[in-house]
Amino acid sequence: MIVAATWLARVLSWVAAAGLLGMVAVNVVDVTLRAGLNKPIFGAYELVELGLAACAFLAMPETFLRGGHIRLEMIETLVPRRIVRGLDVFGALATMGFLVVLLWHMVEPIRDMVRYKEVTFDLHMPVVFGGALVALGLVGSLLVVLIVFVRDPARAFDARPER
Amino acid sequence: MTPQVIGLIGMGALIVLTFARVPLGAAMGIVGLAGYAAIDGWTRALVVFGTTPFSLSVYAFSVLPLFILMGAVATRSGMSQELFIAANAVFAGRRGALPMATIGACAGFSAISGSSIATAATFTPIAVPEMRRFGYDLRLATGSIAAAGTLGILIPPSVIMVIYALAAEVSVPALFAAGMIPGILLAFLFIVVVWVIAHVRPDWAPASPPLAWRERVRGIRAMWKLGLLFAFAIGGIYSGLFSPTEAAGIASFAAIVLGFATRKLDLAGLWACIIETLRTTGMLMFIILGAWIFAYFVVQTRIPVLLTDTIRDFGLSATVVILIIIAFYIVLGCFLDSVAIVLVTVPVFLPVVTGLGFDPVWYGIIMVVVVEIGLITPPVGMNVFVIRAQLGDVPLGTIFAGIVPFLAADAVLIALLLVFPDLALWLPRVLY
Repeated sequence: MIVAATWLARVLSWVAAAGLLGMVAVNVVDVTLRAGLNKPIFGAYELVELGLAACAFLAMPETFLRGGHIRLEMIETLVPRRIVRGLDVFGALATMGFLVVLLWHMVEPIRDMVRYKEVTFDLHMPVVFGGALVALGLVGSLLVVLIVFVRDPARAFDARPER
Repeated sequence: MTPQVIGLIGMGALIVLTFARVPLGAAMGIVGLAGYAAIDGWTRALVVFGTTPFSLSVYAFSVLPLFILMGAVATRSGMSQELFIAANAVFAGRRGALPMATIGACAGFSAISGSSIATAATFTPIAVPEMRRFGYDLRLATGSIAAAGTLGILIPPSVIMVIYALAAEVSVPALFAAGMIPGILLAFLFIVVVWVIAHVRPDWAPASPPLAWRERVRGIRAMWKLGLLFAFAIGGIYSGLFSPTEAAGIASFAAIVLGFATRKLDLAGLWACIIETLRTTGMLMFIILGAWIFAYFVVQTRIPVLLTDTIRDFGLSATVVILIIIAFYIVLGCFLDSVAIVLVTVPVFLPVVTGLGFDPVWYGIIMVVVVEIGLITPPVGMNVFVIRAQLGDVPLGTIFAGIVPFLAADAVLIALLLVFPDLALWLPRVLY
């Protein structure tokens, strides 16, 4: 099952990487065209924002998989290992609860984006494109935490992929 | 129940969840949602909750992954090694030259990396073996790296400064400019500390052999790549050519091109840099997501107003309040990561500080300096752990003992910033 979580995080990371490199490319081309020909990329801001949605949110599952989110580590040295494992189970459950409630209440704003055909200012790109990337990243994060939790509840934030 | 009481209960709940090892982003999000609902009802709270993630994929945030990528590529391309050689060329021949060179190199590296931990991690394997070879005391060797690593978040570009700027709604370029003089000053103060140690305990800091002038010039010339990146990243912003995001994008691209052109970077290395950037960005955005929800709650509680009123009732002077806040940050730094400290406390303290007449840009610099101290003091001291992880035979106590003299430099900088706020505010005023 960890293999499934690893692959999910990896595939989303590839898209996130494309978003990151896309942001670099848009900025470089935009500045070059603006400086050289006085013709910047139309809607560069919106393209960068789309790249950011991919880069920031689709990278979250990978961060969850590697236990990269900020937690209070100090407690590990103060209490017995058994209690730390119990706290880790609680932490995983709390995180999953947070993500479930968050995703549930993101459904309505996404529906509104589709229902009212919201588009961006310059490119008239459907706003739901960016919204979908944000939601996908959080769904991926929830799945990764869930998969790792099912396999070993106490290691939900300290998973290492199986090779 | 009044909003203020709900706010205090919320703060208590956040502490409990944090100690229960809930990831801080989730902990702040949970407390923020429940607290907001307790004050304003579930319907409104859930609307705010559900729309917050979409409000984070905005242009202003794009500067974060781009600067992180630039730092990662520069590190992997070996620019840190060249910087150390260049800094050593400046200080060679003096007693304590190698720790001074390390501090100089860390200051230079800070100009292309926005992370203290990355700075400390980068220079440990470069500088410590050299210092060991010349017989430096390990306390001085490791303490100087841990302390100098903190320059990473004070000298722009700085990830923490960007996060503060976004949370406090102040200009990123203004904050970067404000960090420049205090950053250089702190590097200078660290060098003074090494100089003093070298004279008080000469056995800790032997003199290294001097270099011929030709070798010094050759060493310094090796810094050209750093200069180029700094010109893109910071020069571009202040010349008005680029926005911070554009500067970060151009500088990342320049770092990649330089890495490939000098054959210090290959495709596998670039991919490793991208993955490192994505993991850091994912971590930052998750905690920012929680912090944004938490901030909505703090605004509803009106705790900042209550704090301001209390300060007025007690008749405390503005300086005393700032000193109390600084002491609070130092304590908080013992438990929390620097990003978390900034995100948790800005909604609470910033209105109080600005209400007392302080400039939010100046406060940002004070906050960064104080947060830095948390990076090198027990029990969290992330810089120390990073150094310890790379030097298996050096006890943590040795590193912490080495740091103590450098804390004096931090204290002097804070005092100077309190007495002369223009140390931070002059440059942004001139540049804008």
